[in-house]
Amino acid sequence: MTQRNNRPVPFVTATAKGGAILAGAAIVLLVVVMLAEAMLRYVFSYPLGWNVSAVERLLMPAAVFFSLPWLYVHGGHVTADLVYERLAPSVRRFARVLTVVLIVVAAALLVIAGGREAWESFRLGDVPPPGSSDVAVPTWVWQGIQPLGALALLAVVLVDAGRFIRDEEVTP
Amino acid sequence: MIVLIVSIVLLALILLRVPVAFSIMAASILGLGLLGGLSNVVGVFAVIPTSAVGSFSLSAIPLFILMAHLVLESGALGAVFDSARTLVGRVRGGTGIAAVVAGAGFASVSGSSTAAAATLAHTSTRTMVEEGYSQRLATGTVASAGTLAAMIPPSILLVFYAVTAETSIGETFMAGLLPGLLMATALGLTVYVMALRGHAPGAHRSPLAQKLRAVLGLAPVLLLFALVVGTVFFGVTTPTEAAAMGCLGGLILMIWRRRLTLDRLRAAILGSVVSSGMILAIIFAAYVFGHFLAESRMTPAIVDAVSALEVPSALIMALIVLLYLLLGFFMDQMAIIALTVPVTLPVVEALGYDPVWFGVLIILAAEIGLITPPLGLNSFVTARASGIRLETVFLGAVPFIAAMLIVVVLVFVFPEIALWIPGLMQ
Amino acid sequence: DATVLKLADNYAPTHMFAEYGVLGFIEEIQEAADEPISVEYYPSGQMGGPREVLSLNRAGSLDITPAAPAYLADQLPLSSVTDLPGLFENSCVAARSLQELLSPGGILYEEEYEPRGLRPLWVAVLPGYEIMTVGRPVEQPADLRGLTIRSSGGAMDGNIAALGAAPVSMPASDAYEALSRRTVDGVSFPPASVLPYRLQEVLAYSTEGLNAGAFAIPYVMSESTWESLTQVQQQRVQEAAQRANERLCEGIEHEGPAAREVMAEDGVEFVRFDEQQAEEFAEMLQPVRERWASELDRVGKPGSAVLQEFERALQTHERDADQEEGTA
Ligand code: NA
Ligand code: NA
Repeated sequence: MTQRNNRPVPFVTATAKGGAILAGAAIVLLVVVMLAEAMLRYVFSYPLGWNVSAVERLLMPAAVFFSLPWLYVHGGHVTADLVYERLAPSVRRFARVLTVVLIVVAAALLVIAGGREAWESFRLGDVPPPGSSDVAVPTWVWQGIQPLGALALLAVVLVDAGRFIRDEEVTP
Repeated sequence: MIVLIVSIVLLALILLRVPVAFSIMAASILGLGLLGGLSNVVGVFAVIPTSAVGSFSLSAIPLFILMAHLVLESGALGAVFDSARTLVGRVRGGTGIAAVVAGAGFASVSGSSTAAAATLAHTSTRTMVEEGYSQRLATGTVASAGTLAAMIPPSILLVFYAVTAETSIGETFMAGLLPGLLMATALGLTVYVMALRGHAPGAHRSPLAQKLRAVLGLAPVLLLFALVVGTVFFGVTTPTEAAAMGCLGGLILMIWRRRLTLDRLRAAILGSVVSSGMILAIIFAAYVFGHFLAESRMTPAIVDAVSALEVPSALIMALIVLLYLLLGFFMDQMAIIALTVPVTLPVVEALGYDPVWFGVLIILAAEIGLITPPLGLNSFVTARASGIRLETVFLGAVPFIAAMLIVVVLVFVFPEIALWIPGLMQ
Repeated sequence: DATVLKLADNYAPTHMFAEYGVLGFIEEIQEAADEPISVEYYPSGQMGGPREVLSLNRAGSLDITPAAPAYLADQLPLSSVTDLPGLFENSCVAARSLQELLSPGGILYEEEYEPRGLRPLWVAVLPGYEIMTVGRPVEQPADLRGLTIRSSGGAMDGNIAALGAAPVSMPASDAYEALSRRTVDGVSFPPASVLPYRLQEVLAYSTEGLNAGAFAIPYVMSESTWESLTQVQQQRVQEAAQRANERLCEGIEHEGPAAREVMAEDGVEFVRFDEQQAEEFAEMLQPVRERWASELDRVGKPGSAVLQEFERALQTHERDADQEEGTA
């Protein structure tokens, strides 16, 4: 059996890593914000107030959507299963093509639909007014997380598609 | 009809190994498109994914995952298995029982099953086989002990169930404790019975001093468990705050055990990115699917139909639990909860059953699928980590599956097992 | 073939917003046999939270949804003028005034709803917000310092901050869970909507007569849906909406006192202020309106103009209501 290069190209690994760093930072910030809030609330009786919307609008979406390319590269073989392994090679190949097509379609939808939403908010100038308890960033910023993360996934999958379909498993 | 077609497509995609989140999204695109055209699909994809994960309560999930990774990197869990082994002493099947205890120990700081099975497989399978355990018993023990993590608090599945079912997160979180301990007992007894039937030798005897030292080996994990679960039980913190404190505790454990290095910290954080990303991606995909289900207006029709049935409600409940058992064979547990609870819970509540109890029950049932073919993830992980054939692991799991089924029946018949502790909190 | 309209909101079909508003509206527009309309109704947040249903409406997945400025402070900051404290006591006066500003030509329609492709149909206004707590009673302004109080968002955040507490904005449907888990120490809520959320079960105390603001919820149709309707259908929708507006405010006026009774029966203690305390609270709340207007002016939005317009409309409708009462 000929040894062929089954490593993703540097663009793929670098994009995945960049996303993972952002997602990891979001998870660490979750801990920090939560502890700071608990501290200020119980010890000093002075809650932050904006922590809820910071978690909901910025940190949670960042933790998920920026992790998508990294998941594609590193989470690929968690669903190993008996059924798949007993399929004919041609069917398995079909399944991999189908996987790529479906990820591309779903990611493109996440980009286009989410991007349109963020663009609308940008166009209309949506931003929490002064004195609001919401975290003070323009709406398009947090609405932009989903399309941006999905765009990174889309780029990674398109660049990597040939290798993914050729090879049995994604092993970086 | 559309719902049926879409469900079949979903199952087919999962079996073809399309990643679960994307299988769900693809099925949803089909369903939403059939019901409302492209503008409907785009509308839902514009709004729902971000808002689904943008939930303060769900932030407990990445936090509990990070906590488990930090504890894992601290190496405190290896000590738990050794300590348990020393403490159980010369009971027949003692090392296997120790693996169950270690599984429970890991469960008390970890929220999901598969990580637990992987860790346990590394530490304990080899030890058991070297001591003369049959490969079947050694791997069956480890694969099934891994499932404890999804029941003994903290449980990510129970937190997510509470968010979906809109039950109290704190109470649902605590409801898993007794059923989890009952499950641990059942698994331990199974090891003992199998040992008596010749699958395992007697364990070694340890002097008292060594046993006392062993208790100290359990202390850090028990302390962390007490911190996280205790503060939730007494209502001092919410599960989310407790999870953040747990992360701090995990970090302190790393420092205390002199294991804090940049590499390990990075490994813990990146490991959390994978686990939480995967779970939350399934969750947002499932919310998109939920929109399709709502638009199909199937749920109210089912609730009406079931309520009109002239059969005892206990029978309907038994069938629902059976459904979860079957789904567990084919689907990811998180996806099962996310996709089905919006449909089944209204039925269960219409029949007058407690939603917290229902959550515990269906998670117990669905978790059995983690060790059975064809998708038994814990069995795969155990086989891979121990180098033992998958078929052997599945065979070894059979007596444990029987034990788990008995626990499901017990919790079904005696709801107090799940509801007693949450009742104390009110 | 009937034109199908999808209506989604976040309230149970038993909530007064449905009982006096949505249900009657649906019934009326479905009645006519010529150029028929049929409505698919998704209550109770089946289609998502307040933000989500509005976005789904604008994106074309839904046709009629609420668009409550309080939950959409980044999108509809001016429209939360109704949520300011001490402006009115009567729901009908407030609803008619707001409706005027929301109609084509009205300042809120032109500034906020029209640019977003939204056409307000009817509104519900809950007046008379009180501060309700789980732990300790609020007897004087100092008692509020350091408490986290659930806010409906928007201008309400400012009202709560002015009283010295920290506002946490969340939908009303999350309030029960937040109170029982002590994520918040209390809520800013109108008595009329305590019962639908069973908050009386977890609450221990409520102020009485604080008037710390209000909550307004316009139900809107997207402009694209509106334009897809025939003229006959448009007229039918408009007339049904007008009647929903009137039914709702009368229903709300009726529910308030009744709710207070049920709450008291369920063990919620109402705290009345003496004159000095009442004055102190009023003094704290008074500058909120001016500050709200000037802060919006500062970021380039016509806050003062909106406040003036609304106060003018309130005066007109209050006079009309008084006259009606006089002749009756
Ligand atoms: Na656990
Ligand atoms: Na619309």
